[in-house]
Amino acid sequence: MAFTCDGIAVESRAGEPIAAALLAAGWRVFRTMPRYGDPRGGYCMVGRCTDCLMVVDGVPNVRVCVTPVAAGLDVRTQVGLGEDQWDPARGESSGVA
Amino acid sequence: MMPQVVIAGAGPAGLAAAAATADAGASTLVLDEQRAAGGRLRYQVQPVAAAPSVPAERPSDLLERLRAEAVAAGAVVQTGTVVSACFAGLELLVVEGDAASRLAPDALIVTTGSTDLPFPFSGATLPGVFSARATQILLNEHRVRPGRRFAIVGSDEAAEALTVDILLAGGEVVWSGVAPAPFLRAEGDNGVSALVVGQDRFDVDVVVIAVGRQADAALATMAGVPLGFVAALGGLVPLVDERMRSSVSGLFMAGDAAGPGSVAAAIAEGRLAGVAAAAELGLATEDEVRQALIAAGPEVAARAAMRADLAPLHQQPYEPADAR
Repeated sequence: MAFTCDGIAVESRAGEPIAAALLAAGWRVFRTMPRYGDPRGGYCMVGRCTDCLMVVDGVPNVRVCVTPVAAGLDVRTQVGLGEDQWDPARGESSGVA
Repeated sequence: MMPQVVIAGAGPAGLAAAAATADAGASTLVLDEQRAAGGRLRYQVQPVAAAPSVPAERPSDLLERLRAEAVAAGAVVQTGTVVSACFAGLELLVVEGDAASRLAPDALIVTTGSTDLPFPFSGATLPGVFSARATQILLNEHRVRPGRRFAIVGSDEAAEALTVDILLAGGEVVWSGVAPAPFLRAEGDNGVSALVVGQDRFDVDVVVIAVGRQADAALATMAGVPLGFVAALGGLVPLVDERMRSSVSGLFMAGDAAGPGSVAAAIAEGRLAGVAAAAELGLATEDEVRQALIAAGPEVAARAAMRADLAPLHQQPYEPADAR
């Protein structure tokens, strides 16, 4: 079951959470923090710590550790509070979150 | 139909409690926020004993049996549903997806389990630093190894079990131990690449924090159950008596939510809480409660002794009207 993260195709198994698929594919940074832009990449994997918030199909602040994968999902690294979009080509955000 | 008993959490304690209340004739609904029932039995793979006197078995087999027993007794197990709040009179806010509803059972058994204790040190927020439970979930449930070289901060039984899990998954544990936070530093740009311990530097992909767990008693706290402090039970624990009854009328607790312990203790406490809750509803006799107390065994008795005579640490600011 394939979806994309920041426009890059990611393979996954049905039923697993988005975070598991991303970590299996070698992804490390799921979001950057609003104030200093420091990276976060998931911590608790049970939906508590909010380290893994990403933008999924345009909806920000989705806990990808407890959200199952679905074919064709558009997952994006969340910058700050998620109003902003990550620009994979430049490796930075497209504006100030 | 409104269930007479709601059980929050479908881990070993919750499923055992459900079998007991449903067996006594109470309509029983078990709710769990995760997508599948089982709690820790889902992400632990090393053999676990259901009671001190029986041989250890696969956690998945034990889970299947506990669930089958609860369902056979007539309990309904509903996953993907959060018991989000508990108001006065055991009025529950239940959230499933985008829908919220209200439940007002006669008895509530809180078996919400535990949360891994945090251990903050420099760099501990970097991607690649995971809790022990997160690591077990990734390795054992999802079959994903988030790196090859691991460091484990912690030294108790949980850390040892984790080491075996990592080795079984083909990973390598390059450092394991405890050190005061000022002597620990995780380094890396967009993820951990090294853990510095004092003067030593270890190249690692993953740092696991396995310093123990604490009771996840938020739902009970919201209902007005006071907390006490027992270091041997992970810190803050809800005040419950020997039959797992809290000071809030109709509210019982069992398993890790009443202080982290073994799976066997969770199952025994779950059964005990189930029988005690049934007795409160007039569906079980005092004699049956006494029998359940004896059957619960020495670990449950030792846990009860640790919780006995605890002083409440603080008063809840919004005490429900019906709190005793």
